[in-house]
Amino acid sequence: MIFDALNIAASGLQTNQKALDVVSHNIANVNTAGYSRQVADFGTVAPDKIGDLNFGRGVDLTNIRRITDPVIDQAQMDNDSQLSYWQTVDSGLVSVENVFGSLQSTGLASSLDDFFLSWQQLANNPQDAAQKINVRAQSESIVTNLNNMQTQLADAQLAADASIDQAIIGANQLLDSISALSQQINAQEVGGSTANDLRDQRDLALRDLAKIIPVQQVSTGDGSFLIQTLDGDLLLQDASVNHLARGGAVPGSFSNIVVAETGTEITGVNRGGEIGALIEMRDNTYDGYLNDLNSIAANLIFSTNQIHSNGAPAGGQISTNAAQASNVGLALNDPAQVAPFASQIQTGSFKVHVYDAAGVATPAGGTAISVTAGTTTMSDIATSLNAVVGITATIDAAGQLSVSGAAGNTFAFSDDTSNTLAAYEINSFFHGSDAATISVSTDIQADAGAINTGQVNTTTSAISSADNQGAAAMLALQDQAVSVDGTPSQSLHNRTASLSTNYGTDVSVSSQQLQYRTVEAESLANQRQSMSGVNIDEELIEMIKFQRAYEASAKVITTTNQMLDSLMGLIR
Amino acid sequence: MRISTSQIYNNLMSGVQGQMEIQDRGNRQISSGTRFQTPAEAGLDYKLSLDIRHAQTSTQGSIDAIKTAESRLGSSQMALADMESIMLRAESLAVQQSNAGLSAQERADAALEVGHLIDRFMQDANTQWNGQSLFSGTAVDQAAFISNNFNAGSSVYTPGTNTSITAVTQSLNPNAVNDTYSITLDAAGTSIASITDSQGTNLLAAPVALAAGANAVTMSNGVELSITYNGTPDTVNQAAGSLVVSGALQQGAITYNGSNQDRLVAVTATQSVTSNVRGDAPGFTDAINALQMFQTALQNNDVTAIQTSVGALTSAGDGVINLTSEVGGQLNYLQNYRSSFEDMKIHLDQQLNTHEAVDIAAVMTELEQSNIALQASYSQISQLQSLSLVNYL
Repeated sequence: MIFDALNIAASGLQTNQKALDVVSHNIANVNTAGYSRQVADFGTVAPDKIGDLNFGRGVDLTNIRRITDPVIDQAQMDNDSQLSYWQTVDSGLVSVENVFGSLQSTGLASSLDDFFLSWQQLANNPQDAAQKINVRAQSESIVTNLNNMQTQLADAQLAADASIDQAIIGANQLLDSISALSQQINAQEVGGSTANDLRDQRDLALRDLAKIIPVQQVSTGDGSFLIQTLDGDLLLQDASVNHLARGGAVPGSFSNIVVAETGTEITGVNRGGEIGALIEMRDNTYDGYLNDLNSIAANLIFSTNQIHSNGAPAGGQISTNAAQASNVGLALNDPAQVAPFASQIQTGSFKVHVYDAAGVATPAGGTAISVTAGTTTMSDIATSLNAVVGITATIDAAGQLSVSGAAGNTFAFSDDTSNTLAAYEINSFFHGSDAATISVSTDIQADAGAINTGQVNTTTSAISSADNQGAAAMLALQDQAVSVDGTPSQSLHNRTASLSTNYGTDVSVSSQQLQYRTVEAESLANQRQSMSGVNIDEELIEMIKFQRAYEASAKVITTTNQMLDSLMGLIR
Repeated sequence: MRISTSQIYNNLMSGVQGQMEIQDRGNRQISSGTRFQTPAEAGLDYKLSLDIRHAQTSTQGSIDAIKTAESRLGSSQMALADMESIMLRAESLAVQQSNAGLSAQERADAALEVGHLIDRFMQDANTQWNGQSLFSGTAVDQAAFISNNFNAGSSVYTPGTNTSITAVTQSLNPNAVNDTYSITLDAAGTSIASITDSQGTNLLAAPVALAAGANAVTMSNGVELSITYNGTPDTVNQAAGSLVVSGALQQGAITYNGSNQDRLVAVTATQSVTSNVRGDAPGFTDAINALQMFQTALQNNDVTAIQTSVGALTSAGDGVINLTSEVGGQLNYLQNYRSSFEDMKIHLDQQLNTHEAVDIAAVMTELEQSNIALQASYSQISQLQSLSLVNYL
């Protein structure tokens, strides 16, 4: 029986030593990401029944248990997905912050103010060549601002799209990693033990995957490990992995995300994670800003051209060319016309006034050129203009109208109620259709004197050198609500200010969400640490406890040994 | 609640990070002097800043526009003031020269002075400001008044009920007279009974018998008409029709050469003010006519006409004074208008400052609190080392 005591003490030695290993493992992993502290579970060895008595046979390590709370883990995974989403949104918004200016340099807003101020100054000194140069400079400043903003936003959009590719690579690596870990776990847990560290690693990889794409872990009856998207697309089942990939090119848009193995489009990926945020930024946020910016440019271009094309320089023009081409076989406002504002053409007319070398207009009051929407073509316009004595109209191979005065003659346009002149950029101020294409007309770029400040007297055809009706109308445009693109009618200043405000609001929402998700993440991390984190003091106490138990077992062995010595002494 | 070792450090780190953000924000606010700098920091506040700055730019533009108008009108006022003094001198001369006791030579000498006054008046009327004619409306590249060469003008005949007169034209107009003439035949239909002007004055000393074909009829004002008579008398209708003579100009006649469009200064996007006095205002024409009439009377040594000129010059002088007064009134109005914009500008400056400026005392207080919290956090982090059980084993 005395040997039983030795065996029991030996079990104590072995078990406490193993427990000390667990403590050591915990302390070693105190800073390991995703690590869950482990606890050594002790159990008594099955007793021996001798006679009527049950004798204990010592202690054994029955289990090494990791301490986790699945509810907290799931909450952490969900929150990490949202946290990553808002971090990406916030980062994406910060990356375009300089597009929207600052109080030091308010960018588009101040250049728009300066543009209209220059028109006011020109209106008050219409014959001043320096003021015209100033108007041209301020106009070019707006063009530069719009072009730069458009480029930066479009670049950000492309960068977001490129980042999706990188994120997909990361997600696929994680899916492969999770799959490999699942296989290892299945192999290690065949005997019924729990592969604690591997499960920690898989949980961590799953959380990392959720940061890229929102996923859900699904419980199955057969114990398989299964991951789906929020809309139920299967991504992983144990060893089987469906990788992410980019779908085929979509004309005028960006390609979708699909399952690489099947080509099936994956939906619901925009509801969280880095990829969701990148898609949101690319398709809605940046695209929204670009649409707003393009709307500002379109309204500025057309509204300005409407006024300018009805104006005239003192002395009239010798020649002018339409900057927009037309399909001469189609009506001016046919949807198939490439001129961006052709749809603005309506039934009406414009006047052309012809002046001889002495500046005498014939006929006084000009000649009306009628336009019937849906019927009149550019050829009709050229024919009508050619019927006016003193000018010649031609259409080149590209479909661009040219008008020139006969020798010594000049001409001027006025009273365009049909929008034909503005739509086809005849005698226009700006060229283009949006923030990417806007530019000051080539005539004005070449000579600021081509800026029209006055308008022709519709009765006498007279053009006074200091007439400022055109410039004053341009100034009046500053606070006029306009819309040429179906957007709600607003002034250009309000549109510009709203663009910055929308950005500011987006940042505000993003900051609030990020703050909320960060606090939530900290809270959940605290909860998880509270449950699964390692406390070194706690582990040291455990260590002392096991050390003392080990020492006690050793003492039992020493004592038993002495007892055996005593027994052996009796024999000697 | 169980606390892990990482938790203690993580929570301290989180606190330190939060305090550093406060420090960063406070430092940015103090260095910039503003509560925010970008729309990202305060979207709606940034929009209000843009709105205020937009209003500031517009207000400054309005002030500059009014100053332009004031400058133009101020220059006009100076020219008009000189015209006033010219008219006063002419009036004074007219009163002196209306004295019947003065000699023809004295009046001829006075006529020379009046000629100089007319020249000076014309220089004032054609005054330029920054190379632009002040009184020619929007035709600033043209002189407001020009001196014309002789022009006989043209005539348009409108037939009446008489059927024997087939055509009337103007064959001579040596005095460059513009008028409307009514031609009436006698009951027999063989003579021009009368040709009356627009005042109803008969310009024929005696009836003029008509011969078949072209007839030349000279009226008392020197205008000669060519009247075609078909030889068949109309004994029923006496009214032969009317003739309108227009466009006739005497040698040296001064006429307005500008446009009939005022120079409007755009003060705001929707408001504009007139910044000029147009030369076609009656005050100018009356003054020039009165001066020329006075000069002619002096040259002709016509005392009666000189006495008539006194009244005309006085009336025309009053017209110039009225123009000057109108400009003065307009300038007063513009000064008040500008003052209102300058007040608005001050208000906007204050509003912008109130809206954007940072409350430095509040930020400094927050920074100080944050400093204390940071120091406490750092102290706590350093103490954690010594509080470990490791140090006691």
